[in-house]
Parts: sequence; C-alpha cells; structure tokens
Amino acid sequence: MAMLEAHGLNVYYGMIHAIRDVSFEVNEGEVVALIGANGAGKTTILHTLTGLLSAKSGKVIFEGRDITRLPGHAIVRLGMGHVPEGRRVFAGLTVLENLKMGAYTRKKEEAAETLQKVYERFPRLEERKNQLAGTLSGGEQQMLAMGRALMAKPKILLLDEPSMGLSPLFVSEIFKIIESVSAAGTTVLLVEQNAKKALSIASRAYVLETGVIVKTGDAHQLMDDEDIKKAYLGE
Amino acid sequence: MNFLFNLINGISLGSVYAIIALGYTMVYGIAKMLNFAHGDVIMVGAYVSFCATSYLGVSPFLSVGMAIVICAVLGVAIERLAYKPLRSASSLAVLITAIGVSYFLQNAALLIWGSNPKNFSSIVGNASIKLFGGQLSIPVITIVTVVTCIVVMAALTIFTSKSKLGTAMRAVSEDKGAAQLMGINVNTTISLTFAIGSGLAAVAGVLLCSAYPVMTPTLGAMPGIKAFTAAVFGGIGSIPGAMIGGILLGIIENFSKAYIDTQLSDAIVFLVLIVVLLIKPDGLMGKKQSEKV
Repeated sequence: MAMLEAHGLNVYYGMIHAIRDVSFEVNEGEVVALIGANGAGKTTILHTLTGLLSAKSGKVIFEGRDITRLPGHAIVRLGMGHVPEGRRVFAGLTVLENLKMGAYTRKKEEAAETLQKVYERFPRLEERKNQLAGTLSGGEQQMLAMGRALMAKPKILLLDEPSMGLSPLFVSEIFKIIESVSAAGTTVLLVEQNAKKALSIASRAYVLETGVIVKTGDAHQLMDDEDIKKAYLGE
Repeated sequence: MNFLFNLINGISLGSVYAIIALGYTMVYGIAKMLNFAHGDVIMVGAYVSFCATSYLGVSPFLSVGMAIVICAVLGVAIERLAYKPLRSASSLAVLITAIGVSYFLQNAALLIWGSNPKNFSSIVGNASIKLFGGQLSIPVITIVTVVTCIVVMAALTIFTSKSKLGTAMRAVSEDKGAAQLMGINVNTTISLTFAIGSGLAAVAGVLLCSAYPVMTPTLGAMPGIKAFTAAVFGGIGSIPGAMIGGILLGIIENFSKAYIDTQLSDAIVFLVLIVVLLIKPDGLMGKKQSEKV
C-alpha cells in the first residue's frame, strides 16, 4: 500500500477546471517529483493534499485513511509536512518563533529535541534564531521554511518549488538537503519547475500538463525521454 | 494645577479609548476587517454590568466579570454568525455587515432596556483623592482607569509576544494558509481574538460609564468611532500603536475642551488624525504595508 494516494482528483477555481482526474501515489521512502510548466497545476495539487483547497471530487488517502474532507489544520498532525511555494515564512516572527510554530501540534519536550536536529541540519538558523524571518535572504528563508516543516517531524514532506528564486549555489545546497532529509527516512513529494534537478534526485516522477498527468515513470527513464528533454530539460 | 488636572483626565479618557482601540486593532490584525459593531459591544458591557448590580444585586467587581464573559461570548457569536460566512467576500460586504450588526445591537438594546437614559453608578463610588493640600482632586475612577489600561496593555503584550497561543495569533494574522499548515486552527484563533477584544470592550464600557454615568443604547457609538480613530492614528494592527493612539487622542480631546472650545473638541481630534495620516499614512507605529503581487 502506498503511503499517499490521490484518486481521480478534480479541483476547480470557480469555473476553471484546474485539476482533471489526477491520480498518483507516493510510496514510503521514495522521492517522487511532480514536474510541469508554470500553471500546470502542481501547486494546486499540493494545496489539495494538505487541505488548503478542497477537491470537487476524488480522494486523498494517507496511510490508508481518507483525509479528503479533513480540516487543513488536522492534516499536519497525521504526519504530512508542507513547505509552500514562495516559502511563506512568518516575516514578523523571529526565526525561533517560526520554528516553534512548526512544532505547534507537538509537546514542548519533543519539539526541543527536534529543534536541535533542525539546528544541526541548518546551522545558519541557529545563528540567526532571534532575527526576524523577514530579514533573512531568500535561501535562508527556504531553509527556515524547510526547518519549520521538519519541526512537526513529518512522515512525508511536500516541497513546492524549493529552488525558486535562489542563486545556483543555493539551489544545489537545497537539493543536497532534500537528499539528506530523504536519506534520514522522510518520504518526499517534490514539485519543481527545475525538472533536471528534480529528476536527478527523484526515484519516480509524474509530468503534469494543464491539470492532467501526461506521463509517469522512473526518473532516469524520463530524463532520457525525447519529449521531456525537449519540453522541460531544454535539450 | 489646572493643566495637570486636564492632563490626568485626558490620560484617563485616553486609556478608555486605548482599551477599545485594542479590540479594533487586534480584530483588524487577524481578520483584516473593521468591526464597526465593536463600539456597541461596549454598550452591552455597560448595560450588563448595570443590570447585574441593580437587579441581581451582585457586587460591582463580579458584575464586571459577568460583563466580560457575556461580551466575549457575544463577540464570538457575532463573528461566527455575521462575519465568518463572508470571509472570502469583498471587504466592502464585510464592512456593511459590521455596520448592520452595530445597528442590530443598538436596536436590540433599545428593545430590552428602552430609550430612557439610565444612571450608571460608578463601580468604585464617587470618591476622590486630594493632592497638593486639596488643590488637585482626582476621582478614584480616573486612577482605576489608567491602572487598568496599563495592566491590560502589559498582559496583552506578554500574551502575544511570549505565549504559544499569542505567537499563533501573530502567525495567523500574517498568513492564514501557512498558519494552517503548521496545524493552527485558524477559526479558533479568530474566535479567540474576538473574545479577547470584546471582553476588553466590556471593561471599557464599565470604565467609561463609571466616569460618564448616563447610559443610552447608543452610548458606544461615539467612543467606538474615536477609538477606531485612535487605532488608525497609532497604526492599525499594532498593539502599542493602539495604546499610544488612544492616550494621545484622549489628551488632545481634553485639552481642546479645556483650552479651545468644548464644541470644537471632536473636530480638532479628527483634524489631528488627518494631519497625522497625511504625514505618516500608516499611523504612528504602523508598519509599511507592501502589497503582495
């Protein structure tokens, strides 16, 4: 049984049918990439998974449990962490307060332990713990957003465009971090426009075009796929 | 000595505005709406306290507690019934609804308590403290009001900056979606904000009517508007801003009454607001708002 399954999701923005019959699954321990052009519906799918949007039809199953109609704030408790597009750190809160909010659903003692681990992974966050999150650089904010999601000790981490707007150096660093998070046992669902990078660390991938999944398969095979090369890898 | 007397009275009146303004500013911060019914919650608070002491014979202190609880419940109910269904509607629709709720409360009060003014008896009596060999006489309620305002302010500041719930409140006011992803129940947090704001309105109502004892169902309207002005003056969304805005407004109003003209005092208050907003559009303590694109 897959850890996370989507069955025939349909999502609308008013009259616009943004996601059409999308089904996919993520198995425990995998890094699954969801790639596609701007506006293909990648973010919409992630928002539907964590309850920021609700699907008109279809189901989201997490660890065998139907979470389609569960309120958004209850989903994180089940072990689903979501690093949203654009990072969305709380700019007026300090770095430490942001991290503490990440552990909102957890007990204080447990959170303190995880905080140390997050600091080990992102030493820069510890250096800047009393700084307002809004004053961090883009790359640091991405680290904070990831650290904040990890504070909930998620079983699966949904990452939405973690490389967006970052310098190439930071992009490589972020991808290294994703690999190490995965190696530490967290399942990852990665949404990216940077298909090359995403496919290089993913085990499997789904290709999304205007709300429909058009291709799926092993990440390395997709990298050699002529259509994919032309459309997403710029070769 | 006259100057000092006017200053102290101004600070006291301003303290009431500040407590009301806190409700405006907190609700605005979290729900991004102007709750124009807030002023009328003050009135309900005053009437509840009045009824509890006059008809039920409870002690003034307990009556304030009852007023706080009833207004907090009322505030939560208003949000749930009138504002929550409109959360994704245009801000204009919410604004009009708030004005509707304001009239609803005033008319409900008119039905229940009638239009005849009632005489509120001060919760601390009419005692005064005499200073400088009797040259300066300050009513006890004036001091109680200022002290209450300081206590409320300190408690709220500690709550929002230190406690987990307070931090969650700030997170929700910044980004509801991201806050939800943290597992914060946004609806509960908004309800809590309305409860706190309305509870404070009850306190303000009792303090206001202790100083100005004539009660009518529209008693909350003018202080409500002035406190809203104070909140904008200080920078809406900012808790210290509401405090400073409220107290400055009270002082300006009282000095205008004492040294310029009683009739003109309100005009002067709003004139100062206009000047401040021309120079600092975000208010005294307001943060620069950058529009997200």
